[in-house]
Amino acid sequence: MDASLLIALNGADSPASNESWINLEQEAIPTSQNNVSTSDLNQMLARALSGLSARSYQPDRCPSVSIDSEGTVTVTLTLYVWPSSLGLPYTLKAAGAAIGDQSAVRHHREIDVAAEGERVIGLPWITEQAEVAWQMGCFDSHSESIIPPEISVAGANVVLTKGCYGVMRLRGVALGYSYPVVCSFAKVELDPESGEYAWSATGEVTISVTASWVDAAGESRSEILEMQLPDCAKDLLELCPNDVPKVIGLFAPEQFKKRPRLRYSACTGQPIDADYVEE
Amino acid sequence: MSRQASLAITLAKQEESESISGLLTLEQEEWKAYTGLLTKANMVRHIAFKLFGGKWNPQIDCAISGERVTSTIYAYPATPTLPYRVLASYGELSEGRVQTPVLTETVHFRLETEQGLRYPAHSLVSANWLTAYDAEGNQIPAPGITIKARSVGTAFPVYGSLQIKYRTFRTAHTLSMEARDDALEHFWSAYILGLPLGGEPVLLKFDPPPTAEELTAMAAECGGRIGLSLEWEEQDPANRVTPGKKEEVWDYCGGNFLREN
Repeated sequence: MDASLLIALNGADSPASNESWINLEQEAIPTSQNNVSTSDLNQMLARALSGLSARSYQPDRCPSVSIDSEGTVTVTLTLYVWPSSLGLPYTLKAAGAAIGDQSAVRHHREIDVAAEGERVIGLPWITEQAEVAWQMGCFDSHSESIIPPEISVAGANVVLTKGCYGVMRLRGVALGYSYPVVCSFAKVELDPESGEYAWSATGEVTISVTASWVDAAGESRSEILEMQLPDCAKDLLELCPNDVPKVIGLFAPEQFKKRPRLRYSACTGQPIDADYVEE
Repeated sequence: MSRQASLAITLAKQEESESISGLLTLEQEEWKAYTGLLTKANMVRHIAFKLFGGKWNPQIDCAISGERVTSTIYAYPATPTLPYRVLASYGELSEGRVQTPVLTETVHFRLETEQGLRYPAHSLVSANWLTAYDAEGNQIPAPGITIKARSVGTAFPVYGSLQIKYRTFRTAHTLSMEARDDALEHFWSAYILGLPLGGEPVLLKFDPPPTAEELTAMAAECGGRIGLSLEWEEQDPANRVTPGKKEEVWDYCGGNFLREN
């Protein structure tokens, strides 16, 4: 099973013709990276009840985001390009991000394909090694049951010997390319006197990626995808506008003369150092 | 509004609105806004449960009961007498339960003489013009309306808003399924197919509960519950393990389970 989760495709209803096209897709960000769960609450409660700060708990759920020692937040997203032909020349541009090296991808995919009377149904990607089967009967335009037509897969098209209404389950290998899309957010000093900082980009940040190509008629074509930042990245950007360590005092047994004190990063939750203070 | 009393209403013959397409409308009941998410109420109850004990079992409503997802599919025929069948490409779909709910809809006219209704209207309960103006912007008496199965019409162009209450006819079907255990992805995907006699089939893509695909892909449990037993003596936190009680030790930096005492 593919470890990656994929979001709904941009332009999933691909043209079922010989026209050239490109589908852009962002590797989906699991929502579990964004939402709290009872497991998180348990972890925070465990810390609080142990005398540690619940705020020191940072769920390890933002793997696409890193923070360096300078406080620069780097977000790495994955972009998939699904062209109508692997040889189709195209260019990619990203606003607000850098696009890394191309990698050819062969992803095992599985989808439902709905037939609504047409003989040729476009798939969102070129498919190899396709296995496809009807999920239920097949029906004509008057809702009468008919013998299901034979199915074949050619490139990015499902071809039926006769148009009908029904649903197929298709499994195959999708062919395309992937690219890392990297964007960085650095701290910007707002007010040197007060020492206030902000991130160079926060809020509803989107990264716009444009694929451009020339079709068979010589016309310029383009496809645009607005890539989304994971919510956990936005949270991190807001959590640590200025990476000032937080300090918490720990409980100490009665026999201890000194009380331990822990300093940790508000951004990452990682301990920085600890000392003891006289009670 | 007093205009309502003088409304001229005509229920057109249903056949006028029928066509080879649009004989049947399929709809899936929407998931609750908090499906798959931890609500504030659940969060508070969960914390209270952990701190003070109790029998409440914290559960996030992921709309997955056991290993099954259950949803309601509604089929709205253009006429109650229309024979039709409803099938699912995956899962089990129950027989339809007849319902005749009264729906309220506000229809806005922008100098048109006809506007669509969301569902087929089989009888009118009430109609009330909220505003009604002619093309010159003059307020006018409430225009008479004509109800067809899926539309409401006026005798002349009007600019205004009509609040209409009508009774519709539908059958409710329960769709129940388990995740496809042999799938690579789209474990909960399905289509609902409506087959009105003599009419064009209609397809509805089933919308699985939010996070269901992700939970199944990750083989994770809804809500991410873990077993965590905490016992301590309030006055002596350093010796917070009560004899005979279980303590689970977690790495507080990484959140990893370390050992059990």
